Amino acid sequence: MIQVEGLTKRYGSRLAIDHLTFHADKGEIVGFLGPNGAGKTTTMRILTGYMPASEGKAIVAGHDVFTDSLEARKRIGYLPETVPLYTEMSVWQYLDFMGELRQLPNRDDRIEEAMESVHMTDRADSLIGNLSKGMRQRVGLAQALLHKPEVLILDEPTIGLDPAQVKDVRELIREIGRERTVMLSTHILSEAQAICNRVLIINKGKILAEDTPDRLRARLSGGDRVGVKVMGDGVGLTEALNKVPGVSGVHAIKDGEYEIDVTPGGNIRPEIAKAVVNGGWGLMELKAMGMSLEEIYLQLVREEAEEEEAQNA
Amino acid sequence: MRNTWTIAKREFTHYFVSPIAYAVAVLFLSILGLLFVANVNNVAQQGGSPSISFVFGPLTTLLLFFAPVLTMRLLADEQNKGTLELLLTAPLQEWELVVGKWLGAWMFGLCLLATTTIYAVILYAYGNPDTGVVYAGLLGLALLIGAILAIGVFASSVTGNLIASVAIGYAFVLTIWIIGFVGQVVRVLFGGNQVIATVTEYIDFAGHFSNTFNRGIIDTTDIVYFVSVIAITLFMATRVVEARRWR
Repeated sequence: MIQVEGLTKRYGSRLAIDHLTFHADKGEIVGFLGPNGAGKTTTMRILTGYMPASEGKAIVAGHDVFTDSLEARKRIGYLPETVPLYTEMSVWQYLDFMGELRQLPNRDDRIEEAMESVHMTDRADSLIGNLSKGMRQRVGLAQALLHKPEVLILDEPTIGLDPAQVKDVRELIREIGRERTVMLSTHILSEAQAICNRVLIINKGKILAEDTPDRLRARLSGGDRVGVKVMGDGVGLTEALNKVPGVSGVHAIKDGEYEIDVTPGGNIRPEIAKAVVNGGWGLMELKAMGMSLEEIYLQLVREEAEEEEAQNA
Repeated sequence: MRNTWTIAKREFTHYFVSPIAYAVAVLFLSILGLLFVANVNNVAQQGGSPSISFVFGPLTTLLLFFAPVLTMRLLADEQNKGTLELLLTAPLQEWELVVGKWLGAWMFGLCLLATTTIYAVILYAYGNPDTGVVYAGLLGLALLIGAILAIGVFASSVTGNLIASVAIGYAFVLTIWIIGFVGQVVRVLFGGNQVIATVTEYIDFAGHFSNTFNRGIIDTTDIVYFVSVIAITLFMATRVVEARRWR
């Protein structure tokens, strides 16, 4: 559905995105994960035909976004980062205008459907200017869904929403993602973890890693972590735990709380428990902690920075 | 073409929910009404026959001040609010957008113009105005309004700032308005057939209306002039919107 090869964008001498190559298939939700200024929005703007790339090729729904832009645009639903709304229009008027621009047949039904999917049917006549931020985001999403596009491109779709709304929007995206291709950007890692089938981690215009959230975690963490909580301050526990085979490091988080790095393979949690109990510390809690996407991501960005430094040295 | 109409319709209806458009319309029509009363009164006291050109003449001057205000937000506001991204990623071509914006403004301008026919009705009721001037004047004004609004659309395309958009609009409109004066000065200073004088007098906006349409003369040269101004400025605005993508 989306195929990108060697996509590059220069703003003057600055490289916003640097030879990106990736793809997204039908029925897939692909997350674009990266810090602000990583090139997420630029990539999305190129895919939606808003701006041309300096180099490279992008094919969306079978149409090249540069040479066959109008056809590609017909098949894309796009929610930009700043939701583009006409505040003086009512929700219905706005969707009607967009439907007319997209020359939709049986427009009223489509508007009805789009409003239903974002749970806004009761606000059809509200002025957009009077809506809350979360509501506006939903109107923007309804606009992107209006023509039942094959490809949905969402730039930070949950930013600025309250937790309940975030949950709603995520569920909605998951639902849509079953039949269509969704590409979304976010800098919130738990979000990518929660809704995406595949994650592209991008920094400074380059893809650092690409995989399912689970596999990324497995591949990059190099092992698991175990959290231990004991009664009291746990004097001497660090030494005792270090003696357990398979433990590669012990970090004291605060008094009585520790995180233990464990080499991959073999489950040594029972041994850790035994060591704690035999040493006479009162075991309060013991839990397996997978390395979060957050840490993976920080690790990747850090690794890259180190590499650069090494090259410069 | 259908997209042009969609855009035009939205812009046209927007004027009826926008306070600025109402303010412009109220000022425009009240000043015109006062001028009409004053002029007709003046001519009647001197024993002359009032003509509709007493309305149409000042109307062109008023347009000079009000047209850039009516067009300032057309494209500037889309850039400012980020909705241009919405339009440029919809299956819509740049020229359709620009022409639609202009068409919406022009339709509103024609509505304002239509209200001035009340003066013609009054003149017919109490006097005997020159019918040729009425028709030619209305045609000329329709074209002139179209041209001046097209210049405004161009001004609105180059910036995302409403104030800047108005200022640029005034700069262009005023230049094209007084450029004929430069020609006259050149003629006085250097005499007769100066190329620069001919050119500036041709570019001059008001001359194409006041010397012909407002005297009841329909000259193809003037029609071509106004249509060209519309075409050229809208073409330039389209190119500016296109260029925005390349930044």
